[in-house]
Amino acid sequence: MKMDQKDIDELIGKFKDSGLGVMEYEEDGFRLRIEKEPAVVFAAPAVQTGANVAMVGAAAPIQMQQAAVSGAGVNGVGAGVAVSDAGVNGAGANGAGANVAGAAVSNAGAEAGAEASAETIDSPIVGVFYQAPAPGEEPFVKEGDRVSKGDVVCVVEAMKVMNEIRASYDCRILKVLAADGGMVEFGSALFEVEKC
Amino acid sequence: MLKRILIANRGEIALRVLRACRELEIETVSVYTKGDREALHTMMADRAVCIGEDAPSCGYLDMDNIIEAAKLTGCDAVHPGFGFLSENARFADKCAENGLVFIGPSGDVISKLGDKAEARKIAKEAGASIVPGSDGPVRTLEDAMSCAEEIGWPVLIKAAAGGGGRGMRIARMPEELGVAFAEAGEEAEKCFADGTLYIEKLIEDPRHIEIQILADREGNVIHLGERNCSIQRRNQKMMEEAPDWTLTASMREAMGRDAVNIAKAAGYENAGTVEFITSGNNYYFIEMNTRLQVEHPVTEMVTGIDIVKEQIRIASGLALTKTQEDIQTKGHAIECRICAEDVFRGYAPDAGDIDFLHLPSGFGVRVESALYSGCRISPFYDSMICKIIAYGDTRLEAIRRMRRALGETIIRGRKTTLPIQHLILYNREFLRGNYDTGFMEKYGAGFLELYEAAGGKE
Repeated sequence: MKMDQKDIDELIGKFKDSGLGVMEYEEDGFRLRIEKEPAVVFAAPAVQTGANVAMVGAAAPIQMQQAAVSGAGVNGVGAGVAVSDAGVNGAGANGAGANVAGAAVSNAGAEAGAEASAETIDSPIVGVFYQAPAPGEEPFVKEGDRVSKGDVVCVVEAMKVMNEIRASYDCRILKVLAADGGMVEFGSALFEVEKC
Repeated sequence: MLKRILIANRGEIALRVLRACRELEIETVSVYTKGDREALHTMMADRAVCIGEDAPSCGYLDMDNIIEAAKLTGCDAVHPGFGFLSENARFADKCAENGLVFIGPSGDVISKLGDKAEARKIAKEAGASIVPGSDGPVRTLEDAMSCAEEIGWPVLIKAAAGGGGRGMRIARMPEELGVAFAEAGEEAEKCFADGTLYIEKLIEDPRHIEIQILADREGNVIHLGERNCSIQRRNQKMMEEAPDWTLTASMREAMGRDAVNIAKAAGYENAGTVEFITSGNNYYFIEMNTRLQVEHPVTEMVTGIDIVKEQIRIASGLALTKTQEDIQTKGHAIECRICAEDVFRGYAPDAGDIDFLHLPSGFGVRVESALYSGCRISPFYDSMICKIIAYGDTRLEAIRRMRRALGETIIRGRKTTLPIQHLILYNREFLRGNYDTGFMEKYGAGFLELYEAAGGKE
C-alpha cells in the first residue's frame, strides 16, 4: 500500500487525537514522520496542539545519520530522517533531559553495564548522548518502555551529525545509563535493557 | 603553551609523548580500543576515552571518534605519534577544522611530501641531490624504457604514493622492465589506490642515513645530525645509531644543509626526518617523513634535546630556542627495536601474554616500552614492543653497554628478536661501523644458525 495525500491527512487526524508524541511510518523507501509540537519544558502535561509533518529528505539544520557500526549493540535500518530542531548543539543544551530519572551514570556507564552483566545498548561512537530528538521534546524512550528491533532509542551527536541509535532486538528499557547531554565513549552502555 | 593534549596512539610512543607532557605540566588524554583497556597508555593518562574495536581498520584510525574525544575532553591539541594517523593529511586538516592543533606539519605539507614524486621535485629545487630518475610520474612503458635507458640499469620502479617497500620492483635489464612495471602499478593500485609510478636508478646496498630536523612556525629550521638506520630486514629497521660512524665531516655538513633547505622549501613545521641513501661519498635524497620517528631517541641521547618536548613547544607557537651553532653532538647512542616475533618462522609476529618481564637499567641505558609483567601483546598492532637505547662516550662503550643491557633483559612468554640483535653486536662488520642495508641479507641466516646452535629453538 502506498500512501497518498488523503491517507496522510487521515493519519494526521488520528495522530492528533492519539496520545502519541511521535510517529514514524516506513515502506519501500517512503518514509513519514509525524510529531507533535514540543511540549513546553517543565510544563507537564504537554499541551498538544497541531502536528508537524516532516517528509523524508526535508531540509533540516541537522541531518540524522545512521551510525556506521559493526559489532556494537546497535544496528539500524534506513537513514535520513529529518529532525525539526537544531537546538541540540553543545553539551547539556537545555531541557531535553527532562526525563533522566536519576539514573545518570556519566562516564562510568560502560563499567556499570559490564558489572551487572545485563544486556545493554552501547554507543557505537564517541559523542554526546541525547535522549530526545531535540531540546524540549519527548525522549525517544523512557524507562519501562518496550521497544522493537530497529526503533530509535536515542541520538549521539558526533562531528555535528546526529546519529540515531537503534535497538538491535525487541527489548524493554530498564534503565537509562548515560547522562543526557553528556559525553559517551565507544562502547559506553547507554541503556540497560531486557530482551523480550 | 598547550594545556591538554590528546595522544592518538598506543604502546611505547604514546607513553613517550605522555611523559613529555607530564614534564611540561600538560594534561593528557589517551584514547584506547576495547582490547587496550588495561594497556599502560590507557592507565597512565589523566583521562582515557574508548574509541573503538581492535581491528586494524578502526579504533586508532577512527578520525571522527578521536577528534570528538579531543573536543569533548577539552583538549587543545592532538599528538599523533607515529604510524596510524601521523602522516594522514586529512586528519591534520580535520584537527585544524575542529579547532585542534595537530602536532606536526599542516595537511598541505604532509600531502606534498607524502607524494614521493612531488617530494623529489621539492628536494631537487632545494638543491639537494636526488637519485637519478624520472622527474615526475612515468605513465607508459615506453616512457619508462626511455627513462631507464637514460639513467642506466638497474632501475627501481616505485609507487608515487608508496612506502614500506610496497609497489616497488627492480628491473635489472630491459627485458625485465615490462613485468616489473605492470606488477608495481598493480600493487600500487591495490595498496594505495593510486597506480602512479616513477623510476629511480637502483643504488645497490646503500647505507640509510637520515637527518633529524626541527622547524618552527617562524621559519627557523635546524638539524640535529644524522642517524644510521642501515640494519634493516625487508625494509624494517632493527637497529639504529647516532652518529654514523663512517660519515665524513664534509658529507655530514652537506647533508645537514640539504635537509634544512628541503624543509624550508616545503614550508615545513615541527619535527621531521629527511632520509638519504649514501653510496661511497655520494648521497641522495629519498624521502621526508613528516612525523616523529621510532628511532628519535638516539638523536636525543647525543644532542641532549628532547624532540617530543620541542614538538610540543613548536606546536604551541614558540620559536626554537637553539640555533644550528648550539647543536653539538656528544658521545654515541644505539637503539635496538625489540619485536615480539618468532625469528625462526620468518619473523612472524608472536602475540600473546608476557608472563614475566625484567627490563634493563643502569648507567647510560634507556628503555622506551609499554610492557609490564602480565600484559598482553595484541595481534592487531605492530610487533615492536620495546626499544632499548644505550649511550656511551665512545661507540665501543655504547656497544658494550648495549650487550650488557640486552643480556639482562628478560621477556618471558613471547619470542622476540632480541637474541638476533644481541648477535649483531658481535658481528665484525657491525663493529667496524661500515655496514649497509645489505647487512641482514648477508648475515641474517648466520645469526639464526648461531642462535639455533645456542639452543634458541628450545
